[in-house]
Amino acid sequence: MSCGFEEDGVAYLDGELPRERAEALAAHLPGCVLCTAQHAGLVRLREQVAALASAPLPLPSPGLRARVLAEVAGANGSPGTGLWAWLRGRLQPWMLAPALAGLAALAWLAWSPASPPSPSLDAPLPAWAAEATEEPAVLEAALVMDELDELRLGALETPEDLEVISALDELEQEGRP
Amino acid sequence: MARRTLAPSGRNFPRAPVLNVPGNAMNAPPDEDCARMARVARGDTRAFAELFDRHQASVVRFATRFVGDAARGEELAQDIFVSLFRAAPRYQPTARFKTWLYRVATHHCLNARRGLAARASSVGSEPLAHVPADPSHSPHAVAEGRELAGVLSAGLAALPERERAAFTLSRFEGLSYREVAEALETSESAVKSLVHRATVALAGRVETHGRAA
Repeated sequence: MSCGFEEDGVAYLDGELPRERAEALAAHLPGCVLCTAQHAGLVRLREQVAALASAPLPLPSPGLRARVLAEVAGANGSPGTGLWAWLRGRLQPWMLAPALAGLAALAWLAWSPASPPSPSLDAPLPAWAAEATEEPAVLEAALVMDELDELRLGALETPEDLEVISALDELEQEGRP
Repeated sequence: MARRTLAPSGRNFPRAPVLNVPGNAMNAPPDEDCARMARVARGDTRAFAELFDRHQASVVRFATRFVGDAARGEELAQDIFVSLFRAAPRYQPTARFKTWLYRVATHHCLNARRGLAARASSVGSEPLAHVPADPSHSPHAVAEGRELAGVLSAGLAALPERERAAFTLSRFEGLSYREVAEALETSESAVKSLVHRATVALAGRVETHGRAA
């Protein structure tokens, strides 16, 4: 049989019932076996939970503060929203290596011997480029490019190629008036 | 007096004690943290560090209790604080800062729990804290206290998410029903039901354990 107070016991103990309702429950309690039993159980649980709440949890690791502040410092400047803020939260330092390798490949294509030689090739590398060449991925890309370069230049030096070029020259001269 | 024993109601009845640790800013004037958030919105990392120092203990504690795992709780706390920094420009001081912080924290923890459930991983239910042994207690009483802590932790882990959130905020963090309602973005009457159901479920577990022991 419902007395209408079953859902009020916890809020009553928490002091969260409206005054009239709390007074009604207080008057009801002594005469209701079910509510009295529930109340006693809730009081016991309350004490047990209070003991648990006051027990110390493991302390946060000392590195937590440093990690949070570092992440925030990385995001500082515009802690707002938008695509850039979203991207910035996801970019990682290791992503730089392939990006630099790609940049190096583009630079090689632009400055390759097929293009007219540029005097800037002889200039010393800027600091960022010098650092970039220390990245393993960049060094690997540079090695592959060197090999390709050698193959291309070497192909013009074979006797067969020179013979073909010579024959073509002769044919060209014969065809001239 | 029977009524005094049975009816310790009213605002003066002591709520479960909030852990008195450094960094617990539960009773701090709300305007200070709101002002700090305004500075954070302008990119002031020192203000952010102050907020972190004031609230890290309670955020880590809440997240740890919520997911039932200390390491995961700390990871979540990190995410929560970084989110707080990023959300600073949108912060409107319509509620106490602490309540807003718990809203962000609860949101993260609920998502984390859903993520764990999606990966079919178990949520930790090991006792996260043991009631410190009182030297005056017998070894039997100490062992019993530890066992009870385990039962309560397992009971918390088994609660539905929102009941767990409402119970944790109310019992362990000392929030009023109104503040819990703000944190969970629901009504006070809904919080009353959530806390009631959670408490009755835990009481039932403890009682069953007591009978079996």
